[in-house]
Amino acid sequence: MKRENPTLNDTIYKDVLNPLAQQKPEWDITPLVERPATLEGKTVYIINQRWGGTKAHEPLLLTMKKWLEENIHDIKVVYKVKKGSYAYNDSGLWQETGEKADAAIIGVPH
Amino acid sequence: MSPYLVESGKDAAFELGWLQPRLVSLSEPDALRGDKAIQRIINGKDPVSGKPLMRAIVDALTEPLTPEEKKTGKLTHPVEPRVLPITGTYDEIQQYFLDNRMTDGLPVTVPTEERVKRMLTGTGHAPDEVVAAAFRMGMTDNGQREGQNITVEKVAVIAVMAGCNPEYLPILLALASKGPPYFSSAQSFTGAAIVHGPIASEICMESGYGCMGPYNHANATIGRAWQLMGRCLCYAIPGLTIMGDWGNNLQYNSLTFAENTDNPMIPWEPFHVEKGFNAQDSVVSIWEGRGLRQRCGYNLPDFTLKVLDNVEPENGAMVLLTPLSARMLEEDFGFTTKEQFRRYIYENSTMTVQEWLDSDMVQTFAIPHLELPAPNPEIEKNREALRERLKLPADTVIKRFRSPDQINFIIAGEGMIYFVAGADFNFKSLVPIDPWR
Repeated sequence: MKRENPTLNDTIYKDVLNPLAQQKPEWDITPLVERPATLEGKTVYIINQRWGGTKAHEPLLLTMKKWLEENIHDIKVVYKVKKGSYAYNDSGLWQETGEKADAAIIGVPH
Repeated sequence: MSPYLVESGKDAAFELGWLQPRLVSLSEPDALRGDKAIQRIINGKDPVSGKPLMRAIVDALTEPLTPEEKKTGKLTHPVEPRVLPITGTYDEIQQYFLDNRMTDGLPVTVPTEERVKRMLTGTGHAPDEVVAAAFRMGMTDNGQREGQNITVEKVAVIAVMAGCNPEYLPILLALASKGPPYFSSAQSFTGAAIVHGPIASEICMESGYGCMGPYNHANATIGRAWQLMGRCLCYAIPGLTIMGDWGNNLQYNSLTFAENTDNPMIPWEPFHVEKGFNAQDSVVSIWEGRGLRQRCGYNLPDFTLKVLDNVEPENGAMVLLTPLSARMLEEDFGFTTKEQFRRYIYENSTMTVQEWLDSDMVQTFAIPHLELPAPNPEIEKNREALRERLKLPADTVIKRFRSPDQINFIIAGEGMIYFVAGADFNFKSLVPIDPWR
């Protein structure tokens, strides 16, 4: 909403300093990895990142697993619970996913 | 993720370098929901693409990449100029600050070169000295907005905006050196800054009547400036980088006041002295939590337990007492030292195992962390105790606090009456102010 303040508006302000911090100026674009043409015969990891607790997101992820298994021929769906809280970098799981999965779904509850 | 996280997810992906992330959204949040909601979500649509959810997931995993998704190169944030590209009237400047999300919604003092120069007289440090190399609200490295190389001058600009006097600046620099007042969480946290030692009276901070109310200039503006640091130095934007569902009214001035150390009724040493500083050191303590509950009456030990019975499991506590309350605890109830009262609370503040298990903090952090290597023996000892707790029947009564050290006391207020307040505030750090003078 526009405000009007006739007395204060007699002054023209210049040389107003910037309170905003500089964010990182430049960083690399990470292109997406190539997708398989189909999930048939492929291995898909479904990863629970545990925000709200292991059980918070599990019903949905397991229902997704069931749907994929029922609707996509010869798919192998692997359900994984990452180590530690969502704030912990489970590098071992990320490496395993890269090596063993053709695709991955990471659920973010909320 | 649900639709409520999509924009935040895109923002985080951008920070990580994913120009075109493939995000699929649930129709509504799924965490801790029942079968009815889960079936509705599975059979619902992805609001991002408009496709049925499972089809959207399969497509996201199989559709060929677009040229835009294959793109390499660089992403950039705009270069922030030292001087803003504006000239205008008071109203025009205020509107510019509002439009560019630099304020808390209230008018600011316009940070002109001249005013900032005057503010800088409050410290002996050079304007270009870096106070904090990185300033961010997140707990992880995953796509957080981050202000870099925060200088003394940048803090001074914000101090001017908040209406501070130059002599408040050392406190703000001490606070800035530790980051913003709260972190981004779906829960609505706030910071608290309590000033201890001589600087509080030097700059006329209030520790007595109404010290937590909107009355004292130093209390009000220091707390506001700290809050504005979150807004300006790490881009606190609700729904994008700040995900607190409600926000917290205490964020307006970050619960900033001085500890009362002068009232002759106070029987115990000041907080910073208890933590190893000299009484003549000026120090600011930093806390993080959600809110306070109060009780008033004679039975202060029992009321203390009552106001703490809503403290989230695993959380620490700040017990706020008036000078009179502290005196009564010492004289009438026999707690001659803080340590005795701390031990009383530790032994008598309880909950059931089920209450502990029901806590989001326990489920999100405490239990998953039991699988991780402990960084030190003390943490391993605590984790071993939690593993044993998991074997207990749900109705077993257990202590609310992990150790007496989680319970801290602050004395504030004038002392006319016997109040106690319990706040679910974790004590985070004590920062010396004198080096920033």
